[in-house]
Amino acid sequence: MTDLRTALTEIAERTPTYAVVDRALAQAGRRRTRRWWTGSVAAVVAVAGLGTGGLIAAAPADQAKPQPTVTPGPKTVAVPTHCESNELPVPPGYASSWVNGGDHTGRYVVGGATRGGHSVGLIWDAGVPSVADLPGDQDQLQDVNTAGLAVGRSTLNNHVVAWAVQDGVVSRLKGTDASAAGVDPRGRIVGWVDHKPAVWDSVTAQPRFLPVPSGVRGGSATSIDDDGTILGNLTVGSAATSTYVWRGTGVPTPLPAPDIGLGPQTSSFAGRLRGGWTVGSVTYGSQGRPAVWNVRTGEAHIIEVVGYPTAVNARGWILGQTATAYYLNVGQKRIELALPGPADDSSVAADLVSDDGTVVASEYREPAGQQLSHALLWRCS
Amino acid sequence: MSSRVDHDDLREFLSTRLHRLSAMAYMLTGDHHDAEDLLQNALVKVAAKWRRIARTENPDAFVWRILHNEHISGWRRRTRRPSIVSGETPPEYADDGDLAGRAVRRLMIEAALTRLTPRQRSVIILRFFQDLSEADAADVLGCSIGTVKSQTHHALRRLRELCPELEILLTEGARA
Repeated sequence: MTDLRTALTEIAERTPTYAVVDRALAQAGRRRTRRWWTGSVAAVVAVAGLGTGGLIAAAPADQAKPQPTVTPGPKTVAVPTHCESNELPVPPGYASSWVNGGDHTGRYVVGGATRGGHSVGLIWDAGVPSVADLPGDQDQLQDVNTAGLAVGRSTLNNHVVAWAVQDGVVSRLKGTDASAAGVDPRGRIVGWVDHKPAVWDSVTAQPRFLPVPSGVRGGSATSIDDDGTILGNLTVGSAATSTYVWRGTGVPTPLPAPDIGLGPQTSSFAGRLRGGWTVGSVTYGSQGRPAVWNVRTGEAHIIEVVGYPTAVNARGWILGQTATAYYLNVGQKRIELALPGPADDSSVAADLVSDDGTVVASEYREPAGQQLSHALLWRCS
Repeated sequence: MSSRVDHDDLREFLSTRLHRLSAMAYMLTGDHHDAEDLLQNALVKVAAKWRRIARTENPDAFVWRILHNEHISGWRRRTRRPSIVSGETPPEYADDGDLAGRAVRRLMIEAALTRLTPRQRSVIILRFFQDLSEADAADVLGCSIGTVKSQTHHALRRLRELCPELEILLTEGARA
Protein backbone atom coordinates (compact mmCIF):
# COMPACT_ATOMS: atom_id res chain seq x y z
CA MET A 1 0.00 0.00 0.00
CA THR A 2 1.43 3.35 -0.96
CA ASP A 3 1.39 6.38 1.25
CA LEU A 4 -1.24 8.03 -0.91
CA ARG A 5 -3.47 5.02 -0.38
CA THR A 6 -2.78 5.09 3.34
CA ALA A 7 -3.65 8.76 3.56
CA LEU A 8 -6.92 8.24 1.68
CA THR A 9 -7.81 5.30 3.89
CA GLU A 10 -7.17 7.43 6.96
CA ILE A 11 -9.46 10.14 5.60
CA ALA A 12 -12.13 7.49 5.05
CA GLU A 13 -11.70 6.10 8.56
CA ARG A 14 -12.41 9.50 10.02
CA THR A 15 -15.47 10.16 7.88
CA PRO A 16 -18.77 9.56 9.66
CA THR A 17 -21.49 7.53 8.00
CA TYR A 18 -24.07 9.91 6.61
CA ALA A 19 -27.57 8.81 7.56
CA VAL A 20 -29.14 9.72 4.23
CA VAL A 21 -30.76 6.47 3.10
CA ASP A 22 -34.22 7.21 4.53
CA ARG A 23 -34.25 10.69 3.07
CA ALA A 24 -33.03 9.50 -0.32
CA LEU A 25 -35.66 6.77 -0.50
CA ALA A 26 -38.39 9.19 0.56
CA GLN A 27 -37.24 11.65 -2.08
CA ALA A 28 -37.10 8.94 -4.73
CA GLY A 29 -40.67 8.02 -3.88
CA ARG A 30 -41.70 11.63 -4.12
CA ARG A 31 -40.04 11.99 -7.49
CA ARG A 32 -41.85 8.93 -8.79
CA THR A 33 -45.15 10.52 -7.84
CA ARG A 34 -44.27 13.97 -9.13
CA ARG A 35 -46.07 13.39 -12.40
CA TRP A 36 -49.20 12.94 -10.36
CA TRP A 37 -49.63 16.68 -9.94
CA THR A 38 -47.64 18.12 -12.82
CA GLY A 39 -49.90 19.94 -15.18
CA SER A 40 -52.92 19.98 -12.91
CA VAL A 41 -54.79 22.98 -11.66
CA ALA A 42 -54.48 24.08 -8.07
CA ALA A 43 -56.83 22.29 -5.74
CA VAL A 44 -57.01 21.55 -2.07
CA VAL A 45 -57.43 17.88 -1.48
CA ALA A 46 -57.12 17.67 2.25
CA VAL A 47 -56.66 19.88 5.28
CA ALA A 48 -55.25 19.18 8.70
CA GLY A 49 -54.97 21.33 11.79
CA LEU A 50 -51.59 22.68 12.77
CA GLY A 51 -50.62 22.84 16.39
CA THR A 52 -53.68 20.98 17.58
CA GLY A 53 -52.59 17.97 15.55
CA GLY A 54 -56.27 17.30 14.94
CA LEU A 55 -57.82 16.69 11.60
CA ILE A 56 -60.10 19.46 10.41
CA ALA A 57 -61.20 17.95 7.15
CA ALA A 58 -60.03 15.32 4.79
CA ALA A 59 -61.30 14.04 1.48
CA PRO A 60 -59.97 11.72 -1.16
CA ALA A 61 -58.51 13.57 -4.12
CA ASP A 62 -61.27 12.63 -6.53
CA GLN A 63 -63.96 14.01 -4.23
CA ALA A 64 -62.16 17.24 -3.52
CA LYS A 65 -63.84 20.39 -4.62
CA PRO A 66 -61.25 22.54 -6.36
CA GLN A 67 -60.75 25.74 -4.46
CA PRO A 68 -58.01 28.31 -4.24
CA THR A 69 -55.43 27.81 -1.50
CA VAL A 70 -54.85 31.54 -1.30
CA THR A 71 -55.82 33.74 1.60
CA PRO A 72 -55.98 37.34 0.35
CA GLY A 73 -53.15 39.49 1.63
CA PRO A 74 -53.68 42.72 3.54
CA LYS A 75 -53.39 44.83 0.41
CA THR A 76 -54.73 43.79 -2.92
CA VAL A 77 -52.18 43.61 -5.68
CA ALA A 78 -52.69 42.77 -9.30
CA VAL A 79 -52.03 39.19 -10.27
CA PRO A 80 -49.33 39.29 -12.95
CA THR A 81 -50.14 37.93 -16.35
CA HIS A 82 -46.67 37.85 -17.85
CA CYS A 83 -43.09 37.43 -16.63
CA GLU A 84 -39.96 38.46 -18.51
CA SER A 85 -36.70 36.69 -17.63
CA ASN A 86 -33.30 38.33 -17.43
CA GLU A 87 -29.99 36.78 -16.53
CA LEU A 88 -28.67 38.37 -13.35
CA PRO A 89 -25.27 39.87 -14.22
CA VAL A 90 -22.11 38.44 -12.63
CA PRO A 91 -18.69 40.08 -12.39
CA PRO A 92 -16.27 39.30 -15.24
CA GLY A 93 -14.62 35.90 -15.14
CA TYR A 94 -17.35 34.06 -13.23
CA ALA A 95 -18.62 31.09 -15.17
CA SER A 96 -21.53 29.75 -13.20
CA SER A 97 -23.97 31.60 -10.96
CA TRP A 98 -26.98 30.75 -8.85
CA VAL A 99 -29.64 32.13 -6.53
CA ASN A 100 -30.29 31.00 -2.96
CA GLY A 101 -32.84 33.55 -1.78
CA GLY A 102 -33.78 37.17 -1.47
CA ASP A 103 -35.71 39.71 0.57
CA HIS A 104 -39.48 39.78 0.33
CA THR A 105 -39.55 43.04 -1.62
CA GLY A 106 -37.40 41.54 -4.39
CA ARG A 107 -34.79 44.29 -4.14
CA TYR A 108 -32.00 42.09 -2.78
CA VAL A 109 -31.17 38.66 -4.16
CA VAL A 110 -28.36 36.47 -2.79
CA GLY A 111 -26.54 33.59 -4.35
CA GLY A 112 -23.10 32.89 -5.62
CA ALA A 113 -20.83 32.22 -8.53
CA THR A 114 -17.74 30.17 -9.29
CA ARG A 115 -14.47 31.08 -10.92
CA GLY A 116 -11.77 28.47 -11.42
CA GLY A 117 -13.33 26.12 -8.89
CA HIS A 118 -13.56 28.80 -6.20
CA SER A 119 -17.02 29.96 -5.22
CA VAL A 120 -17.92 33.40 -3.89
CA GLY A 121 -21.11 34.86 -2.51
CA LEU A 122 -23.01 37.43 -4.58
CA ILE A 123 -25.53 40.05 -3.48
CA TRP A 124 -27.62 41.70 -6.19
CA ASP A 125 -29.14 45.06 -5.25
CA ALA A 126 -31.79 45.91 -7.82
CA GLY A 127 -29.96 43.60 -10.20
CA VAL A 128 -26.47 45.03 -9.62
CA PRO A 129 -24.06 42.40 -8.25
CA SER A 130 -21.46 42.82 -5.56
CA VAL A 131 -19.04 40.07 -4.57
CA ALA A 132 -18.86 38.87 -0.97
CA ASP A 133 -15.75 36.70 -0.97
CA LEU A 134 -16.00 34.99 2.40
CA PRO A 135 -12.82 33.67 4.03
CA GLY A 136 -12.26 30.03 3.14
CA ASP A 137 -14.05 28.31 0.31
CA GLN A 138 -17.46 26.98 -0.73
CA ASP A 139 -19.10 30.31 0.06
CA GLN A 140 -22.88 30.25 0.19
CA LEU A 141 -24.96 33.30 0.99
CA GLN A 142 -28.35 31.91 1.87
CA ASP A 143 -30.67 34.75 2.82
CA VAL A 144 -30.88 38.54 2.95
CA ASN A 145 -33.30 40.89 4.72
CA THR A 146 -34.90 44.14 3.56
CA ALA A 147 -31.98 46.11 5.05
CA GLY A 148 -29.51 44.25 2.85
CA LEU A 149 -28.03 42.14 5.65
CA ALA A 150 -26.99 38.85 4.03
CA VAL A 151 -26.07 35.66 5.89
CA GLY A 152 -24.41 32.41 4.90
CA ARG A 153 -21.49 30.14 5.45
CA SER A 154 -18.17 28.97 4.11
CA THR A 155 -15.69 26.23 4.85
CA LEU A 156 -12.56 27.46 6.59
CA ASN A 157 -9.78 25.20 7.88
CA ASN A 158 -12.07 22.18 7.66
CA HIS A 159 -14.81 23.85 9.69
CA VAL A 160 -18.09 25.32 8.52
CA VAL A 161 -18.22 28.97 9.58
CA ALA A 162 -21.25 31.29 9.66
CA TRP A 163 -21.01 34.81 8.22
CA ALA A 164 -23.01 38.00 7.88
CA VAL A 165 -22.39 40.61 5.19
CA GLN A 166 -23.69 44.18 5.26
CA ASP A 167 -22.59 46.93 2.86
CA GLY A 168 -19.50 44.94 1.91
CA VAL A 169 -18.42 44.34 5.51
CA VAL A 170 -18.01 40.65 6.31
CA SER A 171 -18.53 39.61 9.96
CA ARG A 172 -17.94 36.17 11.37
CA LEU A 173 -20.81 34.94 13.52
CA LYS A 174 -19.83 33.38 16.84
CA GLY A 175 -19.68 29.62 17.16
CA THR A 176 -17.47 26.89 15.76
CA ASP A 177 -18.99 24.62 13.14
CA ALA A 178 -21.85 26.97 12.43
CA SER A 179 -23.95 27.95 9.46
CA ALA A 180 -26.45 30.80 8.98
CA ALA A 181 -29.49 30.15 6.82
CA GLY A 182 -32.06 32.87 7.47
CA VAL A 183 -32.38 36.46 8.69
CA ASP A 184 -35.44 38.52 9.66
CA PRO A 185 -35.99 42.28 9.15
CA ARG A 186 -34.68 43.00 12.66
CA GLY A 187 -31.41 41.23 11.95
CA ARG A 188 -32.04 38.07 13.93
CA ILE A 189 -30.23 35.20 12.28
CA VAL A 190 -31.07 31.49 12.38
CA GLY A 191 -29.02 28.47 11.42
CA TRP A 192 -27.16 25.80 13.25
CA VAL A 193 -24.19 25.50 15.59
CA ASP A 194 -22.62 22.09 16.07
CA HIS A 195 -25.56 20.48 14.23
CA LYS A 196 -28.11 22.02 16.61
CA PRO A 197 -30.67 24.69 15.64
CA ALA A 198 -29.52 28.09 16.84
CA VAL A 199 -30.36 31.80 16.78
CA TRP A 200 -28.08 34.82 16.82
CA ASP A 201 -30.04 37.85 18.06
CA SER A 202 -27.63 40.12 16.20
CA VAL A 203 -24.48 39.90 14.13
CA THR A 204 -22.34 40.27 17.27
CA ALA A 205 -24.45 38.10 19.61
CA GLN A 206 -23.52 34.71 21.01
CA PRO A 207 -25.65 32.00 19.46
CA ARG A 208 -28.33 30.47 21.63
CA PHE A 209 -29.75 27.03 21.02
CA LEU A 210 -33.43 26.59 20.28
CA PRO A 211 -35.38 24.18 22.49
CA VAL A 212 -35.79 20.74 20.95
CA PRO A 213 -37.82 17.66 21.85
CA SER A 214 -36.07 14.85 23.68
CA GLY A 215 -34.27 12.34 21.52
CA VAL A 216 -33.13 14.85 18.91
CA ARG A 217 -29.99 13.70 17.10
CA GLY A 218 -29.40 16.89 15.23
CA GLY A 219 -31.01 19.66 13.33
CA SER A 220 -30.95 23.13 11.94
CA ALA A 221 -33.05 26.26 11.88
CA THR A 222 -33.64 27.18 8.26
CA SER A 223 -35.88 30.23 8.15
CA ILE A 224 -37.28 33.02 10.34
CA ASP A 225 -40.48 34.94 9.65
CA ASP A 226 -41.13 38.62 10.39
CA ASP A 227 -43.08 37.72 13.56
CA GLY A 228 -40.20 35.63 14.92
CA THR A 229 -41.63 32.23 14.01
CA ILE A 230 -38.80 29.89 13.09
CA LEU A 231 -38.80 26.88 10.81
CA GLY A 232 -36.21 24.15 11.03
CA ASN A 233 -35.46 20.52 10.48
CA LEU A 234 -34.92 17.96 13.21
CA THR A 235 -33.98 14.32 13.27
CA VAL A 236 -35.62 12.73 16.29
CA GLY A 237 -34.60 9.22 17.25
CA SER A 238 -34.64 6.93 14.27
CA ALA A 239 -37.38 8.87 12.45
CA ALA A 240 -36.73 10.55 9.14
CA THR A 241 -35.86 14.22 9.30
CA SER A 242 -38.94 16.44 9.51
CA THR A 243 -39.66 20.14 9.54
CA TYR A 244 -40.66 21.77 12.85
CA VAL A 245 -42.09 25.15 13.82
CA TRP A 246 -40.89 27.20 16.80
CA ARG A 247 -43.50 29.70 17.96
CA GLY A 248 -42.75 31.46 21.24
CA THR A 249 -40.33 29.89 23.65
CA GLY A 250 -41.48 26.29 23.93
CA VAL A 251 -40.42 23.16 22.15
CA PRO A 252 -41.30 23.09 18.46
CA THR A 253 -44.16 21.19 16.87
CA PRO A 254 -43.78 19.20 13.67
CA LEU A 255 -45.59 20.37 10.56
CA PRO A 256 -48.75 18.27 10.49
CA ALA A 257 -49.80 16.03 7.67
CA PRO A 258 -53.36 15.60 6.48
CA ASP A 259 -54.68 12.03 6.46
CA ILE A 260 -55.23 11.26 2.81
CA GLY A 261 -55.47 7.51 3.10
CA LEU A 262 -51.81 6.78 2.49
CA GLY A 263 -51.08 5.76 6.07
CA PRO A 264 -49.21 7.75 8.68
CA GLN A 265 -46.84 10.54 7.77
CA THR A 266 -43.20 9.41 7.59
CA SER A 267 -41.67 12.84 7.27
CA SER A 268 -42.32 16.34 6.08
CA PHE A 269 -40.02 18.82 4.50
CA ALA A 270 -40.60 22.51 3.90
CA GLY A 271 -38.43 25.34 2.64
CA ARG A 272 -38.62 28.98 3.63
CA LEU A 273 -41.26 30.57 5.80
CA ARG A 274 -42.81 33.80 4.55
CA GLY A 275 -45.83 35.57 6.03
CA GLY A 276 -46.81 32.36 7.77
CA TRP A 277 -46.67 30.29 4.59
CA THR A 278 -44.28 27.55 3.66
CA VAL A 279 -44.31 24.88 0.95
CA GLY A 280 -42.72 21.48 0.66
CA SER A 281 -43.80 17.90 0.81
CA VAL A 282 -45.18 15.24 3.09
CA THR A 283 -43.98 11.68 2.76
CA TYR A 284 -46.26 8.79 3.59
CA GLY A 285 -44.15 5.65 3.54
CA SER A 286 -42.44 5.86 0.18
CA GLN A 287 -45.01 8.21 -1.35
CA GLY A 288 -44.58 11.95 -1.33
CA ARG A 289 -47.18 14.65 -1.80
CA PRO A 290 -46.69 18.40 -2.26
CA ALA A 291 -47.98 20.50 0.59
CA VAL A 292 -48.53 24.07 1.70
CA TRP A 293 -48.77 25.13 5.31
CA ASN A 294 -49.90 28.34 6.93
CA VAL A 295 -48.40 28.19 10.40
CA ARG A 296 -50.34 31.29 11.55
CA THR A 297 -53.80 30.00 10.74
CA GLY A 298 -52.97 26.37 11.46
CA GLU A 299 -53.74 25.10 7.98
CA ALA A 300 -52.00 22.28 6.19
CA HIS A 301 -53.03 21.37 2.68
CA ILE A 302 -51.99 18.67 0.33
CA ILE A 303 -52.05 20.59 -2.92
CA GLU A 304 -51.96 20.23 -6.61
CA VAL A 305 -49.96 23.02 -8.13
CA VAL A 306 -48.23 23.15 -11.42
CA GLY A 307 -44.77 21.86 -10.69
CA TYR A 308 -43.08 20.78 -7.53
CA PRO A 309 -43.57 23.63 -5.00
CA THR A 310 -40.32 25.44 -4.24
CA ALA A 311 -41.27 28.79 -2.69
CA VAL A 312 -44.25 30.84 -1.52
CA ASN A 313 -44.78 34.53 -0.79
CA ALA A 314 -46.81 36.22 1.96
CA ARG A 315 -49.93 36.02 -0.23
CA GLY A 316 -49.65 32.28 -0.62
CA TRP A 317 -48.57 32.47 -4.25
CA ILE A 318 -46.58 29.35 -4.96
CA LEU A 319 -43.63 28.83 -7.26
CA GLY A 320 -43.56 25.41 -8.87
CA GLN A 321 -41.04 23.68 -11.05
CA THR A 322 -41.70 21.00 -13.62
CA ALA A 323 -39.12 19.23 -15.77
CA THR A 324 -39.40 21.96 -18.37
CA ALA A 325 -40.49 25.21 -16.76
CA TYR A 326 -41.20 27.22 -13.65
CA TYR A 327 -44.71 28.40 -12.84
CA LEU A 328 -46.11 30.97 -10.48
CA ASN A 329 -49.36 29.55 -9.13
CA VAL A 330 -51.88 32.12 -7.90
CA GLY A 331 -54.94 30.18 -6.84
CA GLN A 332 -55.99 28.37 -9.96
CA LYS A 333 -54.14 30.76 -12.23
CA ARG A 334 -50.67 29.98 -13.41
CA ILE A 335 -48.07 32.20 -14.99
CA GLU A 336 -45.23 30.51 -16.85
CA LEU A 337 -41.69 31.58 -16.08
CA ALA A 338 -39.86 30.67 -19.27
CA LEU A 339 -36.44 29.01 -18.99
CA PRO A 340 -33.66 29.64 -21.52
CA GLY A 341 -33.39 25.95 -22.38
CA PRO A 342 -34.34 22.44 -21.28
CA ALA A 343 -34.39 22.03 -17.50
CA ASP A 344 -33.16 19.25 -15.29
CA ASP A 345 -35.88 18.13 -12.95
CA SER A 346 -33.34 17.15 -10.33
CA SER A 347 -32.51 20.78 -9.66
CA VAL A 348 -35.29 21.92 -7.39
CA ALA A 349 -34.15 25.40 -6.57
CA ALA A 350 -34.71 27.60 -3.54
CA ASP A 351 -36.48 30.35 -5.39
CA LEU A 352 -37.77 33.74 -4.38
CA VAL A 353 -41.10 35.31 -5.24
CA SER A 354 -41.59 38.81 -3.85
CA ASP A 355 -44.68 39.56 -1.78
CA ASP A 356 -46.19 41.68 -4.54
CA GLY A 357 -45.41 39.00 -7.13
CA THR A 358 -43.46 41.33 -9.40
CA VAL A 359 -40.04 39.71 -8.87
CA VAL A 360 -39.11 36.04 -9.13
CA ALA A 361 -35.52 34.87 -8.81
CA SER A 362 -34.01 31.46 -9.32
CA GLU A 363 -31.44 29.92 -11.53
CA TYR A 364 -31.41 27.86 -14.66
CA ARG A 365 -29.10 24.91 -14.55
CA GLU A 366 -27.97 23.54 -17.85
CA PRO A 367 -28.91 19.89 -18.36
CA ALA A 368 -26.71 17.09 -17.02
CA GLY A 369 -23.32 17.00 -18.63
CA GLN A 370 -22.88 20.74 -18.24
CA GLN A 371 -21.72 22.28 -15.02
CA LEU A 372 -23.10 25.73 -15.67
CA SER A 373 -26.01 27.40 -14.01
CA HIS A 374 -27.28 30.93 -14.54
CA ALA A 375 -28.86 33.21 -11.95
CA LEU A 376 -32.12 34.53 -13.37
CA LEU A 377 -34.59 37.20 -12.39
CA TRP A 378 -38.07 37.53 -13.81
CA ARG A 379 -40.00 40.78 -13.71
CA CYS A 380 -43.71 40.13 -13.72
CA SER A 381 -46.52 42.51 -14.49
CA MET B 1 -45.78 -3.42 -2.83
CA SER B 2 -42.93 -3.91 -5.25
CA SER B 3 -41.30 -0.55 -4.58
CA ARG B 4 -41.20 -1.42 -0.87
CA VAL B 5 -39.50 -4.73 -1.69
CA ASP B 6 -37.04 -2.88 -3.92
CA HIS B 7 -36.31 -0.42 -1.18
CA ASP B 8 -35.74 -3.16 1.39
CA ASP B 9 -33.35 -4.80 -1.03
CA LEU B 10 -31.55 -1.51 -1.60
CA ARG B 11 -31.37 -0.81 2.13
CA GLU B 12 -29.69 -4.15 2.65
CA PHE B 13 -27.25 -3.46 -0.17
CA LEU B 14 -26.40 -0.07 1.27
CA SER B 15 -26.11 -1.24 4.86
CA THR B 16 -22.62 -2.62 4.32
CA ARG B 17 -21.55 0.10 1.90
CA LEU B 18 -22.85 3.33 3.36
CA HIS B 19 -19.69 4.18 5.22
CA ARG B 20 -17.45 3.72 2.18
CA LEU B 21 -19.85 5.72 0.02
CA SER B 22 -19.88 8.43 2.70
CA ALA B 23 -16.09 8.51 2.60
CA MET B 24 -16.05 8.77 -1.20
CA ALA B 25 -18.58 11.60 -1.08
CA TYR B 26 -16.49 13.38 1.53
CA MET B 27 -13.30 13.03 -0.52
CA LEU B 28 -15.13 14.31 -3.58
CA THR B 29 -16.50 17.40 -1.85
CA GLY B 30 -14.11 18.09 1.03
CA ASP B 31 -17.03 19.13 3.23
CA HIS B 32 -19.26 16.94 5.37
CA HIS B 33 -22.42 18.88 4.63
CA ASP B 34 -21.83 18.97 0.92
CA ALA B 35 -20.88 15.30 1.01
CA GLU B 36 -24.12 14.44 2.73
CA ASP B 37 -26.08 16.38 0.12
CA LEU B 38 -24.14 14.75 -2.70
CA LEU B 39 -24.61 11.24 -1.36
CA GLN B 40 -28.31 11.81 -0.80
CA ASN B 41 -28.79 13.12 -4.34
CA ALA B 42 -26.86 10.18 -5.75
CA LEU B 43 -28.88 7.66 -3.73
CA VAL B 44 -32.13 9.19 -4.97
CA LYS B 45 -30.95 8.32 -8.47
CA VAL B 46 -29.77 4.89 -7.35
CA ALA B 47 -33.21 4.22 -5.83
CA ALA B 48 -34.92 5.26 -9.05
CA LYS B 49 -32.81 2.80 -11.07
CA TRP B 50 -32.31 0.15 -8.43
CA ARG B 51 -34.33 -2.55 -10.14
CA ARG B 52 -32.02 -2.29 -13.14
CA ILE B 53 -28.84 -1.79 -11.11
CA ALA B 54 -29.53 -4.87 -8.98
CA ARG B 55 -29.55 -7.04 -12.09
CA THR B 56 -26.15 -5.89 -13.32
CA GLU B 57 -23.03 -7.93 -12.74
CA ASN B 58 -21.40 -5.22 -10.68
CA PRO B 59 -23.96 -3.05 -8.87
CA ASP B 60 -21.17 -1.36 -6.91
CA ALA B 61 -19.63 0.06 -10.07
CA PHE B 62 -23.04 1.35 -11.11
CA VAL B 63 -23.53 3.10 -7.78
CA TRP B 64 -20.03 4.60 -7.89
CA ARG B 65 -20.72 5.82 -11.42
CA ILE B 66 -23.87 7.62 -10.28
CA LEU B 67 -22.02 9.18 -7.33
CA HIS B 68 -19.12 10.40 -9.45
CA ASN B 69 -21.35 11.57 -12.30
CA GLU B 70 -23.54 13.43 -9.86
CA HIS B 71 -20.47 15.21 -8.57
CA ILE B 72 -18.88 15.89 -11.93
CA SER B 73 -21.84 16.74 -14.07
CA GLY B 74 -24.31 18.80 -12.30
CA TRP B 75 -24.41 18.56 -8.61
CA ARG B 76 -23.75 21.89 -6.98
CA ARG B 77 -23.18 22.71 -3.36
CA ARG B 78 -26.44 23.71 -1.79
CA THR B 79 -27.64 23.53 1.74
CA ARG B 80 -31.32 22.99 1.38
CA ARG B 81 -31.43 19.86 3.40
CA PRO B 82 -30.55 19.63 7.07
CA SER B 83 -27.01 18.57 7.69
CA ILE B 84 -26.97 15.79 10.17
CA VAL B 85 -24.49 13.01 10.54
CA SER B 86 -25.27 9.68 12.09
CA GLY B 87 -24.61 9.12 15.75
CA GLU B 88 -21.70 6.81 15.01
CA THR B 89 -18.37 8.07 16.19
CA PRO B 90 -15.59 7.75 13.65
CA PRO B 91 -13.08 5.13 14.75
CA GLU B 92 -10.00 6.43 16.47
CA TYR B 93 -6.53 5.85 15.11
CA ALA B 94 -4.42 3.12 16.51
CA ASP B 95 -1.43 4.82 18.07
CA ASP B 96 1.46 3.73 15.92
CA GLY B 97 3.87 6.35 17.14
CA ASP B 98 3.43 8.79 14.26
CA LEU B 99 0.05 10.20 15.09
CA ALA B 100 0.94 13.85 14.52
CA GLY B 101 2.70 13.15 11.26
CA ARG B 102 -0.18 11.13 9.94
CA ALA B 103 -2.72 13.74 10.97
CA VAL B 104 -0.76 16.47 9.19
CA ARG B 105 -0.42 14.33 6.09
CA ARG B 106 -4.11 13.52 6.07
CA LEU B 107 -5.11 17.16 6.42
CA MET B 108 -2.71 18.16 3.64
CA ILE B 109 -4.15 15.55 1.31
CA GLU B 110 -7.68 16.59 2.22
CA ALA B 111 -6.90 20.21 1.45
CA ALA B 112 -5.08 19.33 -1.76
CA LEU B 113 -7.93 17.15 -3.00
CA THR B 114 -10.30 20.08 -2.81
CA ARG B 115 -8.04 21.99 -5.21
CA LEU B 116 -8.33 19.37 -7.95
CA THR B 117 -11.01 19.44 -10.60
CA PRO B 118 -14.00 17.19 -9.91
CA ARG B 119 -12.84 14.67 -12.52
CA GLN B 120 -9.29 14.64 -11.16
CA ARG B 121 -10.66 14.00 -7.69
CA SER B 122 -12.69 11.13 -9.08
CA VAL B 123 -9.72 9.41 -10.72
CA ILE B 124 -7.60 9.76 -7.58
CA ILE B 125 -10.36 8.25 -5.42
CA LEU B 126 -11.13 5.43 -7.83
CA ARG B 127 -7.50 4.54 -8.49
CA PHE B 128 -5.94 5.02 -5.07
CA PHE B 129 -8.84 4.59 -2.62
CA GLN B 130 -10.96 2.03 -4.44
CA ASP B 131 -7.88 0.45 -6.01
CA LEU B 132 -9.54 0.14 -9.39
CA SER B 133 -7.52 -0.57 -12.51
CA GLU B 134 -7.34 2.15 -15.15
CA ALA B 135 -9.84 0.19 -17.23
CA ASP B 136 -12.30 -0.20 -14.36
CA ALA B 137 -11.97 3.47 -13.43
CA ALA B 138 -12.64 4.40 -17.05
CA ASP B 139 -15.72 2.21 -16.97
CA VAL B 140 -17.06 3.90 -13.83
CA LEU B 141 -16.40 7.37 -15.19
CA GLY B 142 -17.67 6.55 -18.67
CA CYS B 143 -14.47 7.75 -20.32
CA SER B 144 -11.49 6.25 -22.12
CA ILE B 145 -8.51 4.63 -20.42
CA GLY B 146 -6.43 7.37 -22.00
CA THR B 147 -8.51 9.98 -20.20
CA VAL B 148 -8.05 8.18 -16.88
CA LYS B 149 -4.28 8.08 -17.53
CA SER B 150 -4.04 11.76 -18.42
CA GLN B 151 -6.35 12.86 -15.59
CA THR B 152 -4.32 10.77 -13.12
CA HIS B 153 -1.14 12.33 -14.43
CA HIS B 154 -2.52 15.87 -14.14
CA ALA B 155 -4.01 15.19 -10.72
CA LEU B 156 -0.77 13.80 -9.30
CA ARG B 157 1.22 16.67 -10.77
CA ARG B 158 -1.22 19.13 -9.22
CA LEU B 159 -1.01 17.38 -5.85
CA ARG B 160 2.79 17.64 -6.04
CA GLU B 161 2.55 21.35 -6.76
CA LEU B 162 0.12 21.89 -3.92
CA CYS B 163 2.13 20.06 -1.33
CA PRO B 164 5.77 19.47 -2.31
CA GLU B 165 6.32 17.75 1.05
CA LEU B 166 4.32 14.86 -0.30
CA GLU B 167 6.80 14.20 -3.11
CA ILE B 168 7.80 10.72 -2.00
CA LEU B 169 4.31 9.65 -1.30
CA LEU B 170 3.08 10.87 -4.66
CA THR B 171 5.95 9.35 -6.58
CA GLU B 172 4.93 6.06 -5.12
CA GLY B 173 1.35 6.75 -6.00
CA ALA B 174 2.23 7.58 -9.57
CA ARG B 175 3.97 4.28 -10.03
CA ALA B 176 1.00 2.26 -8.84
